[in-house]
Amino acid sequence: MKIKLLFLAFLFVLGLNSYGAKYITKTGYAYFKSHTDAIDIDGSNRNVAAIIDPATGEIVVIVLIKAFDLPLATAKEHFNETYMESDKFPKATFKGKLTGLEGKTLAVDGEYPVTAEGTLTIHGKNQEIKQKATMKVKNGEVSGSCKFQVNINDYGIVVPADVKNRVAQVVDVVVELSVKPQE
Amino acid sequence: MCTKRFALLLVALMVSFAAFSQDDLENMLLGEMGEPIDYTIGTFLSPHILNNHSSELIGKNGISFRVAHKFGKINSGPSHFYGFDDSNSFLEADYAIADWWNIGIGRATLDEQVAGYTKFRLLRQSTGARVMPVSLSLIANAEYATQNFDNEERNKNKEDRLIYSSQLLISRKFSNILSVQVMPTFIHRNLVATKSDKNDVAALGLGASCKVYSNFRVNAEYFFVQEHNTPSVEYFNPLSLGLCYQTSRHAFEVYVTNAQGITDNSYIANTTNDFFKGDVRIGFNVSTVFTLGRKTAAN
Repeated sequence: MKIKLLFLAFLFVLGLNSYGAKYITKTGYAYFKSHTDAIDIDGSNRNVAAIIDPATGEIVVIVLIKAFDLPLATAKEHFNETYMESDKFPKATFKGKLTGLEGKTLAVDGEYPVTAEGTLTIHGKNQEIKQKATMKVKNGEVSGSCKFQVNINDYGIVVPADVKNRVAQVVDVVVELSVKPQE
Repeated sequence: MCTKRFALLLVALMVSFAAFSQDDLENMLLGEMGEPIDYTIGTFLSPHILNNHSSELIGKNGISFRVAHKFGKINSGPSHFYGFDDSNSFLEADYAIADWWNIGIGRATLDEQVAGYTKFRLLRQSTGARVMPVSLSLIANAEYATQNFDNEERNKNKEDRLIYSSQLLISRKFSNILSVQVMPTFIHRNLVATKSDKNDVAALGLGASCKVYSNFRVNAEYFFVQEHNTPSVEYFNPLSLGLCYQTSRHAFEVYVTNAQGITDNSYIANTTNDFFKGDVRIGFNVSTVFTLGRKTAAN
């Protein structure tokens, strides 16, 4: 009898764990811009993957570095080879938690200010970050956006001396995710 | 007793499940993403190795202007300023219709030629979900001599002035340091100088690029030319060795070569100097790339 009960409890907890669909996207958007007086270098990526567990607020974002398109003709090679070393570090990730969603369900339309807190990994280096972000729910569609700045020094990205004035130390980053419940 | 322990174990198990949920989340996402195709980039720094095309193409909507020079022979001595008194050049404009399709048109001093090409990327070296060991591009080139032949008789047919060449550009980036290219080449001349000259020439080119530092590379090119044209003139296989440097918009190549010409036929099939006797020249190319219709930054 006891075992049966325990087993039932076990099933229940397991069920809780997987309860509530995760929200997911594989076509999220990331954009960066390095502004200097000499030149603006920017790139966009429309293959950002992200997963959000609305029950816990946990979020994981994975950005493949090679999927960035840089409109400046020869910038993609430099970006991948010299700066991001994408053969060694093929992806940037964010693993963290969204706070501010407590007690709210994403079923109701509206705009929710949230805070994303967690570990941002770029170029193989981890940094703890805390950023304000906005989540929007409209007609059941859930999207989130976050603007922040990345100091490339923090991530061990080295600018060769001959182009020091052409690459910004602080790069503006925009991430936009439109997530759907996982099927 | 037994059930209590069992219960404890269960609880411990559940707690550990919960504790790993973020990694589970990541694994779930990685599973959703699948394995990406990892395309190799930067096999060569620019669409040229030194004189010859590399398997690289200009990205969509890119426009490139390129000036290629070859000076006179270095061993012509101080009276000719070591060859710098003497030069021939090739001016070229290129356009990328798509990431996989480039076209270009140019004008050469030598024989007052006009040349045009169309270049396609057929395969891209990749790993990951799709493994492709090499990149493969195909280039078809036509040269038209606007200069009249010395013999008036030969100027009757316009099509006699045409030369066609095509190349397969097969390249592999072995590491971040070394890239190699093999270039089977076929050249057809509609009219040749004498009866003993051949209309068709086949050649096998080899190219290599070796990273020295950041955007500096040492590049080399060599062509084995099947059978040289005519017994009356001694032809040599062209060899070029040089340095290549690239910035965000410009690519520079400085090299030594035994070839005088720049267009395919004059470079590959009409080289009359011997590299190893010191009959070498300085070659210098500079190209600049712009991107048309640049997408403005979102937001």
